[in-house]
Amino acid sequence: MKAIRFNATIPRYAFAKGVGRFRKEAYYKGPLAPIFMDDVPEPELINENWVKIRTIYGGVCGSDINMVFLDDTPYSEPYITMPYTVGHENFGEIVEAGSGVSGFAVGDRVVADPMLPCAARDIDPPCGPCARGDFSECLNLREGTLPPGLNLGYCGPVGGSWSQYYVAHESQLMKVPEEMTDERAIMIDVFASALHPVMRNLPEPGQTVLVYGCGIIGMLVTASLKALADCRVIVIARYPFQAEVARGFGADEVIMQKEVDNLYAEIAGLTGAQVLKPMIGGEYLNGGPDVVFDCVGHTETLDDSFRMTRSGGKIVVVGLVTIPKGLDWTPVWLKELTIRGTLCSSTETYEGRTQKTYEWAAELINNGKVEVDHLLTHVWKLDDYIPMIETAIRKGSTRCIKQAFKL
Amino acid sequence: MKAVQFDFKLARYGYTKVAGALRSREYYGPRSCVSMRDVPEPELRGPEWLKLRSVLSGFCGSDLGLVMLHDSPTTQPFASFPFTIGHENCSVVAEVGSAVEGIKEGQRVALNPTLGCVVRGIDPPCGPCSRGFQSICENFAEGALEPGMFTGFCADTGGGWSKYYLAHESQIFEVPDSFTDEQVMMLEPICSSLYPVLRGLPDDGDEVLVIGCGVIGLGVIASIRALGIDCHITAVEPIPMNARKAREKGADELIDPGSDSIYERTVQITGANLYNPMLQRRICTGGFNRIFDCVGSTGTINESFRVAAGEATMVIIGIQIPGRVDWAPVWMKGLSIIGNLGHGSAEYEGKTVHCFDIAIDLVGKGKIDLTDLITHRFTLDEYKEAIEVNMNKAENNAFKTLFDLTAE
Repeated sequence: MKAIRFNATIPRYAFAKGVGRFRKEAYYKGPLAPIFMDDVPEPELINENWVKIRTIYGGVCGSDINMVFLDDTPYSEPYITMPYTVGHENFGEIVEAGSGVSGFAVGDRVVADPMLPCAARDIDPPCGPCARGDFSECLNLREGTLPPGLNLGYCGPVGGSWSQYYVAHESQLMKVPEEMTDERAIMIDVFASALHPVMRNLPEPGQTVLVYGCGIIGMLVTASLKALADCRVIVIARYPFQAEVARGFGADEVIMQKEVDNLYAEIAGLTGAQVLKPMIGGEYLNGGPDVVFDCVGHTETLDDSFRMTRSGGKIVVVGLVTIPKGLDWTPVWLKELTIRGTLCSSTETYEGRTQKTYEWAAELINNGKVEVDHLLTHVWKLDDYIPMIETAIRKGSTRCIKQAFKL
Repeated sequence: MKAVQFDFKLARYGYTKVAGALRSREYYGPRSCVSMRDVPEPELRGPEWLKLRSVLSGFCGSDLGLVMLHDSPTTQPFASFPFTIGHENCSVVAEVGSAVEGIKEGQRVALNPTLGCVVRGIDPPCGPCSRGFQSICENFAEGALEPGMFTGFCADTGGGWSKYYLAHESQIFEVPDSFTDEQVMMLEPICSSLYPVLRGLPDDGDEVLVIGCGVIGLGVIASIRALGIDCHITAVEPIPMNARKAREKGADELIDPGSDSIYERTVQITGANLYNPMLQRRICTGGFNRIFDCVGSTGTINESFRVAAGEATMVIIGIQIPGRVDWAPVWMKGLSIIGNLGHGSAEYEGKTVHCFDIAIDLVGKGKIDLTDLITHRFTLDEYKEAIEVNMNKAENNAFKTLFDLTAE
């Protein structure tokens, strides 16, 4: 079967890094690109607790694009088994079920939670975090019946959704409600990634929240905040089409980053804060938003978040930050900030009910609390992965929000 | 009267930055920002103010950072120049404003140096002050006083490195007669450790890591023990004298970063798993649940991230501009990072009280005492020697040094 594969061997890595600096295409075109289309055998059930799924949609995540351009931190490398088939945002139909699978049958439409924690590795009893439902903190991502791998789409034998078939452990599966369209089902994963940081850091009533960045995650963080919390939301966006979506999700204010002279003055004006300017060094705010969701995770956005968050406030790092350069940490202690890291999704409690983040995402989409239909802007065939990558890196002109492969 | 002062002038700052890096005595030389000056005695600023006579005044790590110009420019709007240094003070009341109640001339007192809304005559106070978190007051540059977060960083109040300085009645804490002068002076340094411990409070059974065993780190260990928390404490410290003190204060395990691998020791101590990425330093899963980083360097922050357990809380006490920090563990492990500056109110025995009250209670009950860390005493005239000793603490076997002003 056809599959889009990734293998950063040393020659491929070196070639792409070296040539890619001058010619971006080197990262994804040609025989030495770490990402390539391949013909591979269909994946087999790992054991009797697994199912085989025919892909209907395979979503494209921002982290997949980072991976193509080799922007990942080497830190995560022990949690990956190469080569692997790409794609963790998934939706498909079960075509084969192991003898130990009880709750699911051939023909079921399912989404698999891509995390591969203790349960998927047949580790019993599970580690402490898994026992608490914090699957994204699993301690055993290199142990058990699977090779190392954080997720579906980073773990050799499990495959990924950028191919015709992938396999999943029963514990990963969630049935998609019958009435839910395929196009909504593929949005469950990305929505869960935005819900998790919000539900773990739910603002208090009346607080002012800044959402920094308005890609798909920033948009859905905004939607989650407005659906679940009683707070005022200010969004920083780059492109007008993003601002429009954020407003549609209920953002109270949207700041167009390229149109304002001084971001600090703008945020200060909206929050009643004061802009302070030291004799040497950058400006910062006294007062400001109570909580900042940094949905970009670059040095500049983290630096701005440090400088703009109110004393005693919180910064939730949603963007996958790697190695910021020259970041001044002084505001962290000067303003006694709290910084929270989050990854993927797990289990959330809201208004007394506890279920997996995936189930919350499906529920909020299904009951119409959060409307996601307009977010899937580009659908491709597997063969078109190169134009897909080129679309992702030209968001301003392509107005790309979410892309997916339709198989 | 004599006062050791700090003045921020761009020319002096620029010169000292360059020259100090080449020759350390330039940090306190004639063209530096620090000097001994003759200044008039301060006068009460209003009926709620007191004039205090300095008895002992400590030399804090932040004072050394100030002298060596290590402070980030970000803090500059929250100080006013020139100011008299000194915020760890044992003092005697020399004059009392007409509206001050319950405090008498001649009484020995402790000083909370934080210059929040109440001290600045700002009513209603800002959000953090009204919740008892004065150390993150939003009005450090507003109100009836020149800018300054603390006594010892504000032109209007003066500081403990001179004979007299001023304090607002809300800054005064009464102390039992049974306390020695040294115990009174050490209340502020205790709070600088106790408050971050209260904010990142370990649970019984936690694996706790304390990085750096200077006065703050030793205070963190002592505070955890004083609060009676039954957790397992590991201290990271290269200097043998400091490591011995860490044991005395209650550390169960020691890691010498000079000879031990912090990763291997983390596996031994906590049963963590250890992994080797192809291109990077090693990382653990499992590991320490609570980390108090009392160094805040690029190296310690990176290591803390890598030896932290999932969902661990890391409290950073004092940090400036670290270099390459790999943030991946922050999201991969779902870490919480808490920055800490000074001290404010906290829950204690079922009530919300100021950290100074907690420290006074714990010292009174004999549960914490850091006076054994006082190694050097100077007169004000010897301030250059004091700076020199603090710049070379290990060679001088120094922990806490102080100015004794009883003879002034």
